[in-house]
Amino acid sequence: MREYRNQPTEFAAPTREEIRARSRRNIAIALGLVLFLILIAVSIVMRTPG
Amino acid sequence: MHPTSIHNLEGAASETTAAFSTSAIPAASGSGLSLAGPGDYFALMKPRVMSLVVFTAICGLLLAPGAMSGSISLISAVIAIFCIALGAGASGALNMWYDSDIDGAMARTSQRPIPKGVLTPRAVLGFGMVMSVAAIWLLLVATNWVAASLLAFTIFFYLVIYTIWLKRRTPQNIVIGGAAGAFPPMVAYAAVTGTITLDSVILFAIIFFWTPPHFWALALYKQTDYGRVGIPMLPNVKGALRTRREILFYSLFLVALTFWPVVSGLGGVVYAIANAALGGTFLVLAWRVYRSRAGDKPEVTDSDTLYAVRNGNQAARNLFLYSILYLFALFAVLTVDHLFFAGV
Repeated sequence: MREYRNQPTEFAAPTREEIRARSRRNIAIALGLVLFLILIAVSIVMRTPG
Repeated sequence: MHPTSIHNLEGAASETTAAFSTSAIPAASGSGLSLAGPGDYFALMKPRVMSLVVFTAICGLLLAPGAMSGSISLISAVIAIFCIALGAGASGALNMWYDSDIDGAMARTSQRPIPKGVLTPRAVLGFGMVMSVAAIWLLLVATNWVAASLLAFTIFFYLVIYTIWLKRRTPQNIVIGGAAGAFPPMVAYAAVTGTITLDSVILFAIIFFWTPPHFWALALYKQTDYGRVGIPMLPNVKGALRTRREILFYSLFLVALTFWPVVSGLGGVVYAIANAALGGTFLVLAWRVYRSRAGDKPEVTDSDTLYAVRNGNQAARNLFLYSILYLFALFAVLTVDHLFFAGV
C-alpha cells in the first residue's frame, strides 16, 4: 500500500517580498561565512611564526 | 510517481496557495516565510550600545603596553575589536530573545524585531548563539585564550547573570549587571597582553561605577515603562529620593576613581585636567538630579505641579545624556594623553 504520510498535500507559495527577503538573507549569510573564513585564515597566517 | 498524481498534487497546491495568500495567513506574510532582512538582524545587535563598546574596547587596546610597539599586529587588533563588537551584538540578540515577552509592553523597546513580529524568538536565539561562538572562536584564533575566555565570560554574564537572573529579581540589577558592559576594554587589553593587570581593572571599574548613575538617571524618567512590565528598577522599588541619593553617591565614587589612572601612570597631566572638568560637570549634574524632583509622582495634578515634575525629569535626562558623552570623552582623553603626552 502507498504511504502518503510524508508527502505534502498542502502548499503555500511564497510572495515576491518573501522570496526577496530570503534572497537577501541568503546573500548576507554567504558573505558572513566568507568573511569569517577569511578572518580565520588571516589570523592563522598572522600568528604563524616565520 | 504517476503523472496524474503529480497533476492532482499541483492542483491541490494551487488551491491551497490561493487560500493561504488570501485568507489563512495575514497579508504581510503569504506563506509563513520570514520577511526579515539583514537590517533586522543588525538591529538585534543593539548598534548604539555596540558603538560605546567598540569605542571603549579600542581605547583599552591602545592603552595596553606594547600595543603601539608590535605586540599585536594591526590586522589582529582590528579582528580583536571586530570580535568584541560581534560578541556585544550577540549578547544584545540573546538579551532580546529572553526579554521578548516584556519588550512589546515598553515604548522604548516595542519596535525591536521580535515584538514587531519580524523575527521569531527561536530565530533570534539561534542567531545570538551562532554569533557568540563565532566571536569567541575568532578571537581565540586571532589573539589568545585569555581574551577569548573573557569575551565568553562577558556574554555569559550579560545573558545569564544579568538578563536571566538579576534583571527581574533585584533593583541592584544594573549595578552587578553593569559589569558586562565594563568588560570590553579589559578584553581588548588582554588581546594585546594576554593578561589582566591593575590598569585594565581600572578601565573596568570606571565603566562599572559609571553604569548605575547612567541607568538610574534613565530609570527616573522612564520608571512607568519598567514598572509596567515588573522590572524592579531602583526608583520603582526604593523610591525616587533613594535613587537620586544613590546616583549622587555613585557619581562621587566614580569621579574619585577616574583619578586613579593619574596615580598609576596610565594618564598624565592632560588627562588630569580634562578629567577634573568632565568629572566636575558630572557631579554638578548629579547634584542637580539629587536636588530635583526627578521621578517623584505628582501629589496634585494641577498644571504647576506637572510642570515642576517635568523640570525634575529634565535634570535626570540631562545627566543621562551627559553621561554618554562623559564616558566617550573620558576614554578618548585618557587614550590620547597616554599615547601622545604621557609616553608609552
